[in-house]
Amino acid sequence: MNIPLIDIRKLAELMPMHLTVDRGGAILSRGRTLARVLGNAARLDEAFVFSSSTGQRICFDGLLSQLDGGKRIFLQMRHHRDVVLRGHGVHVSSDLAVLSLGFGICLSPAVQEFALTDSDFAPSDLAMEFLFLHEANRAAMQELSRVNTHLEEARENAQILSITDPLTGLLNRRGFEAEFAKAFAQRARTPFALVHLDLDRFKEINDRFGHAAGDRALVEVASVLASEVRSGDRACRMGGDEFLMLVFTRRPQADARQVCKRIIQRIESLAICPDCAGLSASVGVAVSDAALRPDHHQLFEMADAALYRAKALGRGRVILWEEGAC
Amino acid sequence: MHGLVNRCIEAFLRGSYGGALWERIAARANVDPGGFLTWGESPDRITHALVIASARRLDKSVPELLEDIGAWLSGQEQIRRLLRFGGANFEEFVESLHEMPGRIRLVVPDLELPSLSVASDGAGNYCIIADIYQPGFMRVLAGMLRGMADDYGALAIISAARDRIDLHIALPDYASKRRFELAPMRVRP
Repeated sequence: MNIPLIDIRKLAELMPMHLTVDRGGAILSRGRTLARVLGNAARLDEAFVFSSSTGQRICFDGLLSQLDGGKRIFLQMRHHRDVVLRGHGVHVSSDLAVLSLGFGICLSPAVQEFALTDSDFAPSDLAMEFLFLHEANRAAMQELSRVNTHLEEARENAQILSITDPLTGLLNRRGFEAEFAKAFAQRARTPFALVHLDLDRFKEINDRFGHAAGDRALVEVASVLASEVRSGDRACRMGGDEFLMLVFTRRPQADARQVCKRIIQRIESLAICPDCAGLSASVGVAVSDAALRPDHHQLFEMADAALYRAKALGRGRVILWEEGAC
Repeated sequence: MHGLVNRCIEAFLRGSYGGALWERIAARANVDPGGFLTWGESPDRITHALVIASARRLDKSVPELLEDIGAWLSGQEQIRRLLRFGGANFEEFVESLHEMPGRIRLVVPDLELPSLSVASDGAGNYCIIADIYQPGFMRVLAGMLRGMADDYGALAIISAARDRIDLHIALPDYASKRRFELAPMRVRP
């Protein structure tokens, strides 16, 4: 069967990204889209710098020698350096070569540079699908990143809630244990006092005035603790009417004693309800730089023992743990 | 139903009527007022409850509400742009509708939508039919077509029934088209 020769204008329509060149490098026909892109260039080397499939710069004869073997060629536009066409070609006669080119990954810049539209691409070209997918993916990623941000915030909130006492807003036991372990590990650099505070006659308030009054007392006490310690210090409600504090200072014994005395005074002056039985607090203090160098559990027991002694000695007191005394 | 469908209803309500109204409807429909996050499959009854609660609250019929959602979708810049890839003018867009479910699958593979076929009499009359009946889908599509007709500046008469859409393009160039470049210049952050 004889194949009739194809009209060059029809070729330009069918293959909008093709070029026909002669042996001297003159452009004899160009696809519809390349005609827009190339403007008036009459010769291939006026429009492009050539590279081989390995990215080596080559001359026009070098380019011709790459054809027919299925090798890729790269044509960088001289006047639009960020656009590199890729393609391949065949010799259709000893004098003529046909190149079939595409924008490859330079599609987006080329579309911008030359204001290309849907009608500039052959329907068989995947350019439109590529642009669509590129944009759709960006939209999907944006939605997913919205979700991620949301989940991250939710996680942070959940973490804060998990270490917060819901009634008073102080740290809860879990939060305190983490802070205490951290503080204990750095006690050589930053000494601190561990303060164990227990309210006196809290049960009476609960029994006589109800749990709402009891809760109010706990909230008031918590705000006293929070306002008496410095911002780096930590206050915690362990549960019931039991509180713990970490007071970081160079002079833990003296400073903790002073802070705790002020706290007891303020707690004693709280007016929780009319004719309330006077609320007070007992405090035991243990200091991190004790010569004994106990482990952090021992330190906790020392503060607890001091608290027990404070209670036994008649409430409303601050007792420092001392070797042999508690 | 795919999670994105619920998310779309949420975004429509928040965007068109504000967060407070969304939260009231969410409470009525028994869904988290924080909104939908995951793209997983959720029971259809959640979507149905949301649609019914929204229609009631906004004093619209369900078909009206769904068409509004479709029109709103086509007005979201990112989605509008994706839809505009469907054709250079409104006729082309309508004729390429049969490619749309495939394009959507390319991006969100598990979003199952009916296949569409478009029949034309060559005189600007089209009939759009889905291969399977998915409640409400054709109403949303009709609203979206209305929005896109505006976008392309075409005057079209669109009537939706539960399982088909009849569409007549009266004037393809009735008003000016909104701009659309294939690759818009990015504003660098």
